[in-house]
Amino acid sequence: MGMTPPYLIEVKDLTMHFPVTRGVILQRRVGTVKAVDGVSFQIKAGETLGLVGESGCGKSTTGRAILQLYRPSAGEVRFEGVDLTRIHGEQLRRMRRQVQMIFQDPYASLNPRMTIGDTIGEPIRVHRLRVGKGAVRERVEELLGLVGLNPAYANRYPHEFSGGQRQRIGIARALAVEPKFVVCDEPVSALDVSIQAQVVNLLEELQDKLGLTYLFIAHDLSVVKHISDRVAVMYLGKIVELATGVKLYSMPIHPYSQALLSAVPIPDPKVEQQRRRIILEGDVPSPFNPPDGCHFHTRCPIALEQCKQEAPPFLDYGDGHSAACWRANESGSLMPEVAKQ
Amino acid sequence: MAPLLEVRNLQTHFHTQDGIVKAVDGVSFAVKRGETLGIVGESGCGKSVTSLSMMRLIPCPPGELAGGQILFDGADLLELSEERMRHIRGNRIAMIFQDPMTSLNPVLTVGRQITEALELHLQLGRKAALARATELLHMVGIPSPSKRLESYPHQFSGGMRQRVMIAMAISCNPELLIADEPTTALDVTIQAQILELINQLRDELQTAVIIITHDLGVVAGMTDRVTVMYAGRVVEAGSTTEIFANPRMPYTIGLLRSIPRLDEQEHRKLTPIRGLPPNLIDLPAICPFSPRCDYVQHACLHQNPPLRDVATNHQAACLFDITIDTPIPERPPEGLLV
Ligand SMILES: Nc1ncnc2c1ncn2[C@@H]1O[C@H](COP(=O)(O)OP(=O)(O)O)[C@@H](O)[C@H]1O
Ligand SMILES: Nc1ncnc2c1ncn2[C@@H]1O[C@H](COP(=O)(O)OP(=O)(O)O)[C@@H](O)[C@H]1O
Ligand SMILES: [Mg+2]
Ligand SMILES: [Mg+2]
Repeated sequence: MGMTPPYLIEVKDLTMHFPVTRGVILQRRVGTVKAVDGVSFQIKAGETLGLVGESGCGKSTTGRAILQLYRPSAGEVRFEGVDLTRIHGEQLRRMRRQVQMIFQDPYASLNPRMTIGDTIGEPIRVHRLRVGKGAVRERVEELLGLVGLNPAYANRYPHEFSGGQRQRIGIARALAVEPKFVVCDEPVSALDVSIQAQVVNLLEELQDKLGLTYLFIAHDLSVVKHISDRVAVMYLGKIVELATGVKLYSMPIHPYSQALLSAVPIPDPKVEQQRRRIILEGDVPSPFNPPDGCHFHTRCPIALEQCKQEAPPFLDYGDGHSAACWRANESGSLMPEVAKQ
Repeated sequence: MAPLLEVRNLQTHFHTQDGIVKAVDGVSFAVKRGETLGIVGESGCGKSVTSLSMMRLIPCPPGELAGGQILFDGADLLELSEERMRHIRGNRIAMIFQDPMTSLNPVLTVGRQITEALELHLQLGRKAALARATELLHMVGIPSPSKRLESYPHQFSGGMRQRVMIAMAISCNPELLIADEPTTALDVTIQAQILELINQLRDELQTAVIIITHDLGVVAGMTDRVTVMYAGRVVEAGSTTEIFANPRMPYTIGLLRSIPRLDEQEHRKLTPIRGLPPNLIDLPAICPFSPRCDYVQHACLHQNPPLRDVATNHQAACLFDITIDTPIPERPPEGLLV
């Protein structure tokens, strides 16, 4: 009693399978998309965990399943010790207020016929966080100021704003319900670099000011590493590696992480001239029918017979640097050889 | 060696209800055989309009190629008849786009689309064209090429479709390849594959390459020279090593300060560029970057600064000698509202 759990968020064996159906009138179930396939991690209060991986690997689904926007097929999602997958109704609704989401395209999630003041004010009224028109209005203006927008903009409509400003509106709306945990799903991916930096800095400032905890999802590894304390790398529904950003960059274990990192261009010609890319063959296989064993074995330059048969366990190789690879102890020296050829 | 392509003072305008959009306003650059030129800048700065102008693919009206020259192997493309231009397009100059679906025909098999071009441009017979098409798909790394010739564009993944586009683009051994954000829609490991492929082609065929991107990392890794565009103009140009080591236009400096680097060892706070790019209608005769510039002076509002030599092989459109080490002034000069 009275002890705060060490982690704000604990995800254990999270699994999200979508049925695949054929036929229009009589829908037959023909298989399953294993969008998220047994994912585990923890996030401390005030921490940012980054989640990277290529499109379709299950990042957004992980975020949505944590927030219970999808009800997971299996696994646990503990928020302050309470398993969100086991609660319903009013109890779930109250917990949901504390976990919010920011989207890549805020425009799609803003009602074009509502002023942004009404959009941001709505959850405040619904959850009765402020009572009375004046008090709600005051809070909306405070939120607009918090995200760096002029409070007088409350009367304007979404189309009157630029992409960067709309992202600020999306952030203000997520913060309106005073959440503790925010899933940021590709919040800067659609923005030009100069505007990207404005939004990244804002998210960092808000975290400091409000003590927020983030799951930061993006496919841009440089941005994820910059904003995150630790980074998880996903491939075909599974986390293949998790470490601090600097560790992941300086000594990646999993061959997929190594290839991914080597493919990210660095804006410095001198550095680029020295770099060796690990060029992967082919495309990511479909999550509808993922390969047996290690999901990555079909593209892995150092795969063994064992990798085709058995999925490797996700193990800690020291200081919380974890990876799922049968050749974890040798991959660090083998992969650079691959790149040289 | 004379450049293969030289664009001189290009002006491309759009006549709209709100006024004339000067999407490209006096742009000049050149590219040699076997060389890669990068064009960078934020969305809306005129990169795509520049590349479409080179191909003479600007819809007129509302567009107008209002001035300048595009010298390709000595001839001004703006003076050519549409028929001669058609011969050059796809044959001597090829272009690949961000979204390959816009230039692939969805109802024709990929094989038919490639062989059609080969029959038209290289006068190959049906059989020879088919053999060459198979070879091309193999070259760009598409597995089981002869089988894939029978597939339709939608049956390929994004990365594979971009490869098909590249196969089509190089089918007639073009002397110049223009790639407009060829990897923006792709995942980074697929981007690495495609960029590697473009590099190989340049080295093997001595193709001149113009790569258009908003990604400074791609520019750093791929190009010999860079042209930085802002608001329809060239604001900095030079060799890639020089521009990254010693950027002299506050806009370029701002871009470099605003992006995180994968190899940074500790957290460095990003310095964003404030504000937004200007509307391209009725731009006043001032430095177009001045409203966002940390180093703005009164003189910046008296003229549109011309490109000037700031070092060997390096031009910038800034009146002042700003470098990446110049500290940002605490406040703007007296009387300047920013
Ligand atoms: N509601 C859904 N129904 C069926 N399949 C889905 C659904 N949402 C996502 N998927 C599939 O799950 C996989 C993971 O998708 P997603 O989580 O969106 O990936 P990411 O965000 O990493 O790009 C993809 O193959 C996608 O097509
Ligand atoms: N058909 C058109 N009609 C009017 N304006 C156009 C048209 N095409 C492009 N523009 C304008 O020209 C400018 C440059 O666009 P573009 O070259 O596409 O930019 P980018 O650098 O993102 O490729 C933009 O302001 C755009 O709105
Ligand atoms: Mg997603
Ligand atoms: Mg463009």
